[in-house]
Amino acid sequence: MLVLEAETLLCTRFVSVERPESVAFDPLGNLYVTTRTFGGLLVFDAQCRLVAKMPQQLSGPTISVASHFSPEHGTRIAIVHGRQQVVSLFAGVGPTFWEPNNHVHHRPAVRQCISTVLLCRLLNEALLSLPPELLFIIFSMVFDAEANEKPPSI
Amino acid sequence: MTTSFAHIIAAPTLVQIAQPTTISWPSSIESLAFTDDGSLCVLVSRDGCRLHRFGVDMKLEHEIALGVAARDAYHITALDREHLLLLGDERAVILDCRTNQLADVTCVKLLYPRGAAIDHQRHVVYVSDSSAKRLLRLTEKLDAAIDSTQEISFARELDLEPSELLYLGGVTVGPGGLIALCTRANASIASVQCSSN
Repeated sequence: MLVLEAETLLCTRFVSVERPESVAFDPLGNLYVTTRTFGGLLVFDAQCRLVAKMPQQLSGPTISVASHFSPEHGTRIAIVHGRQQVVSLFAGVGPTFWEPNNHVHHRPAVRQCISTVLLCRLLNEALLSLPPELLFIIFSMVFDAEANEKPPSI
Repeated sequence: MTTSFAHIIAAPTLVQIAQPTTISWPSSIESLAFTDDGSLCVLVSRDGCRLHRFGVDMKLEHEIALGVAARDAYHITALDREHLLLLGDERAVILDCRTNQLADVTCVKLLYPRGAAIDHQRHVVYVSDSSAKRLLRLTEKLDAAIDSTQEISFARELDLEPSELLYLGGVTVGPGGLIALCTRANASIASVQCSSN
């Protein structure tokens, strides 16, 4: 019998949802959760903060959720709502996002937003991984540079 | 520049959702999944088990009537572009969408599994098995099970009570190998590490 390498799980965090049914991630680490008691879809960001809900006009339990990402279409989400409906939608980040009806205009914006968020996350992780002494030196240099800036001439 | 750093660290990831497109069926939809090419597969249990496959534009591409072997399927997960994993009461089946051929691949005893997710990086499939109170880890092709001693114990790692394990639901694999799993009152997010044991 083929034996897989042993693994352990390290629990990192929870998001509180009453009777969650199904979950899906997107490439940015946003978590989409359906629930049997809430008529909609809850979206949590990578820090487990609730950042979006499905439109309120959907009532009844939402069951299954799935996500798919492609550079051409951005993040697509599909949910089973009330056992008789499949709702397909597009999710995006930032002030502009993917829309199914006019996606040509939004495509570069989606890419840019996603690239920006990914870059921010990488910068964030890189900063947090630095030793505190080095971080202090960097921030001191930034503060000094800002303090030495001349006020704009009127 | 200082404020920019602060902004980067504190900025939330705001997600917006576009107007949804809705497709209705006269009766029970069981599950759905995206394949790797972006097609949406919907499992409907009316008149036996049928699988509807939609393109990116949400137009119906084709419909498959699943045979007796998958009649009790209630959950689907896409393994790749053309293969779906179907979960039934006590077994898992792989469907080849190109040939509509089913392959019964259950290699471990399942008791009403509730969800499955594939980790392409690690070449494993996780199956949440509520009645058996465990999260199973199987090979990507499900052609072999892990050693039973290596089964992942969510009760231990996530500090769950045994009663909560009866409510295991959907499971998904995210970026960096994160796993999210539904329990009774929350979605637990865990990272996976190779064990030195």
